[in-house]
Amino acid sequence: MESERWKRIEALFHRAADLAADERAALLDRECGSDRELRREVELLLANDAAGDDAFSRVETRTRTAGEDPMLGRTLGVYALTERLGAGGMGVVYRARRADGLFEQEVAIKLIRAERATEWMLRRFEFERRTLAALQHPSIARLYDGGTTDEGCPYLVMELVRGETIDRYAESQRLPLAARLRLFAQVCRAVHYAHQNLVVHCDLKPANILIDERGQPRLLDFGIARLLEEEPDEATPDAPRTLARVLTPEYASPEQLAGGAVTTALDVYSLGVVLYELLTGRRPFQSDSRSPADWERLIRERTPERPSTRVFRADSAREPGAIAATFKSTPAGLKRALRGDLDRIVLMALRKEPERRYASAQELADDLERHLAGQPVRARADSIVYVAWKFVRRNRVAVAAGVAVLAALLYGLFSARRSERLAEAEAAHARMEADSFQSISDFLMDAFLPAQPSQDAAWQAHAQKLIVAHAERVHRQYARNDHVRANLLDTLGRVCMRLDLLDDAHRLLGEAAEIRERAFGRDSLEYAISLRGQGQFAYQVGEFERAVELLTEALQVNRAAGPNRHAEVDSVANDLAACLRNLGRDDDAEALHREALALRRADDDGSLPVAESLNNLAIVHQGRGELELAITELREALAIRGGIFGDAHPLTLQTLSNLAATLWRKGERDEAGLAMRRAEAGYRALGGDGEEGLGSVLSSLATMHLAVGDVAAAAPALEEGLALQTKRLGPEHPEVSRTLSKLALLYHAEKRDDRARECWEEVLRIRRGPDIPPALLAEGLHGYGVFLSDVGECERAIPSFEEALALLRAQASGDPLAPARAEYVLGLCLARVGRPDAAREHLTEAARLYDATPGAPAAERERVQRNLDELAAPVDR
Amino acid sequence: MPDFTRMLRSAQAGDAEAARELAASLYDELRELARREMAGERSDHTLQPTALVNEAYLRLVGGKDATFSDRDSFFAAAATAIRRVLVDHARKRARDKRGGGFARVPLEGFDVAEPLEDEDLLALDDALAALADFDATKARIVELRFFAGLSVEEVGKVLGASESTVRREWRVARAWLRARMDGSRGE
Repeated sequence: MESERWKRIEALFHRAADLAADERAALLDRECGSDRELRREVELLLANDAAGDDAFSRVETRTRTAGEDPMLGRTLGVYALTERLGAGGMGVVYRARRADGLFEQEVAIKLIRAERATEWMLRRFEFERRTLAALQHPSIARLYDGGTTDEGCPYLVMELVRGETIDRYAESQRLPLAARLRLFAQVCRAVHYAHQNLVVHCDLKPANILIDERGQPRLLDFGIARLLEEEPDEATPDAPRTLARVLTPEYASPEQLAGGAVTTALDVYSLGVVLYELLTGRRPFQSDSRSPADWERLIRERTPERPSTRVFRADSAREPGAIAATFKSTPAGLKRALRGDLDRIVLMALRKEPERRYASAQELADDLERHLAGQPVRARADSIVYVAWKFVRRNRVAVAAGVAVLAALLYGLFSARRSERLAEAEAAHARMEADSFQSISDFLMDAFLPAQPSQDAAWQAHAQKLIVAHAERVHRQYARNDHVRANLLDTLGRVCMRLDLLDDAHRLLGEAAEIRERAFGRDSLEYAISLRGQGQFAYQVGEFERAVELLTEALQVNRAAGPNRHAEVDSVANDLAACLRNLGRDDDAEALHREALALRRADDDGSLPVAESLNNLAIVHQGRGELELAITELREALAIRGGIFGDAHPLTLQTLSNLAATLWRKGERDEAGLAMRRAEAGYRALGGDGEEGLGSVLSSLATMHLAVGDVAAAAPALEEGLALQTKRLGPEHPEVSRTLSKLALLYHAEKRDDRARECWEEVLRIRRGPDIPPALLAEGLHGYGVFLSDVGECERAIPSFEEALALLRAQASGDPLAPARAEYVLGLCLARVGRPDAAREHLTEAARLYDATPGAPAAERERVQRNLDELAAPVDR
Repeated sequence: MPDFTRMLRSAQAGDAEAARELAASLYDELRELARREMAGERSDHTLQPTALVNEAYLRLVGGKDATFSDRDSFFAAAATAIRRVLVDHARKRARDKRGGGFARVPLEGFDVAEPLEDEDLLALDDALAALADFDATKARIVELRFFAGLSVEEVGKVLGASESTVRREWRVARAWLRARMDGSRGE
């Protein structure tokens, strides 16, 4: 780059960088003038002024945090800091050497990160420090001293423990299970000692549990997390103290994540997580999120998988064989050793409710030792009733909370839930009924998979890898059990379908179908399940004819199976009806929906399936113009879905926006507007998963505003809707062009014609793309032409209309009046540019088309006539 | 071991030969340090540039008679050397990865400073080279900040510029690099 130019760019960057958006734009307008390249360069720099998750910012945080360390070489008290050992949520740890020469001693110094060390904090710190210094236990690293730096940051001088963290130690030493348990029991006893001295650790994790060279555990950082607590609320000084922040969400208990009171039970939970990790090589929950809120939701909603099944499962990173080898065992041997007592012990430590965990770390240690001694343990599995109650409650929570973190959900499907399912399958495969399995897996998918597949390619690739690996295992593990193998492959196939992994879905569903056909015959219900799955797949990829074929066969098999199989008949009928409607066979669709609805009502009148049927039936009725009927159905469906899910759920919102649109069509504008606003609020509450829905609702709202002439309200709605649509669907999507065309109309109405022109140009650019129906392009050309003639550019409008007309003549549009209107506007333009003969020709054609179209609005026909009459009038008028 | 303090002072005094010698020796020293670091107990197989530079300084120069200006010159010289060590290291790992057989252990928790990703580092190296083509000062500032861990004030001293100038330059450099590295990732 030339240096003059670069100086110019830099200077502009500095001038613009700290301005508000509008001032910035004005400055750039002024300074860049027609030099678009200059402006682009400056804007690019401005856009990159703030850090984000980009490569540079990553390097920045990873080098400079460790880099600008003015502390090295400094002396604190009698200690000189010699090396930085690590940095964490609460500060930096240094290795330090005694500098007064009295004797040779190395210590660890933890410098607490305190941006605002208040007087209160420092007093508090001093108090805690004395308490901690009193802890004297062979397994707890000593706290020697503490103080405050010249800058006012508190620091702690601690015993420097040399050793390996407990997880790495167990792995590198290839400690067998029993040795791990004994070691861990020692850890528990040390924690218990601290608890008796009224010190809660609050941040137990492997990194804080070192094993020294003699193989003894040494616990670090006792009670230090608490030094960061904030000043108590003055209003309620006696309220139980809570943790200001969670340092390590992976090991934190639900109540700690929720900011609950500090009790010894939270250490017991963290010990449970560490134990889980020692026994399985993995933590009970995984998430990339570091937000305590995300973790809390994850942990609240999910049950940890039993260690004995967890060790048997392949992860992306580690094979069961490799993990078992670190125990000097095999996966099967490890599984046997963990099953039963140890599963129960770990899960008891990990219970959500503090009062249902072990009452103390000591009790946990006792139970581990009882197990080692072959005595019965105290830990009891949750009762079936309790599990069932929790399951219902948990799922209600999940449902009410809407769609939770995507990755967590997928993980949920593949870990905890899946293990229960596999256990069930193993235990009961001989007598398990096909439909019950199916309904469980449907339920699980509903509960755990997002309503919309992820837009994140990396995530999808990860999901795909997981699924393919699971499918391979299913083939291996259930090679001799056709029933279970087919069920599991089928479920995986449907998961793929939900995640838009179409190739894998096709393959897995096909494999399941093949097994079922061969093992159970074409008349079996098992095979019918596969037919239905494949039918749904065909529907999803738009092969409606094929879908109808498959689903019709599935329906026949189900009907033949007799009255006790109604549950499946109604679902297949529902799917088939949806396909038929897409083929325009509305009558057949209606009959099937009605049949399904009747079956479902007989089963449970207020159920979600009833709502589904009502919603779908309403779509058929709405399409036929039977608005009254459709509205009644939608209202009932909404009452059911809203009652069960609340507003912020994709299904409720689907029905709600259907209702709003139908009301609007019927002319119930006020109520339609209210319903649409409610849908808007619902989608907003859904966050990222609601973006697509929000985009289309905003677009509808804008139409409503425009229809009542409220241009000012329409613009922001459309602009936001456009941004969302572009993000979700990509800039080339026809829906984006629809919104753009509305926006163009609106800008024009607001006299912002430059913007309007840009919008129209973009509309046409998109619609000239591949796979866009010609009618849509014609519509765009028409709109652009009207705009041009409105701003006095009739000459340029004419070719636009002509092109639209050519397209409309070549292929009928959805709107029978489109050609008539195009002829009319073209005629008008021609008249304005002084070509009366051509104008007359097109107006005459418009009149003919209006006359030929039944139900054409009389006003429009009259408009044409008026213009024809004017043209016929004497020129000198 | 070469006499670093002497080399430093000669380089400071404007001796180009000493500066070259210093840079070459530093590269060797840092690479050796890095190798030891890697062979040690760190399981993440990544290098922290500033930790290395700090250690090198303490070992090589940080004796009793070192002055503050020694320290500045040392870090200034070390910045380039450590950048080369890290980039060579990352390139080698990229080759190893392609060759297969390199399993990376993910780092858990965050009690250890996060590792530098090879890909990010190599992208930065390319972008810095491009920046240096038309604005060497800014590239140098970034190098000093990142690879020697110098503060804005220290960078100012090394380059003989005021703190506010360094800050302004740094801001532009950062934005330019972000834009550049972002773009290069998509290609």
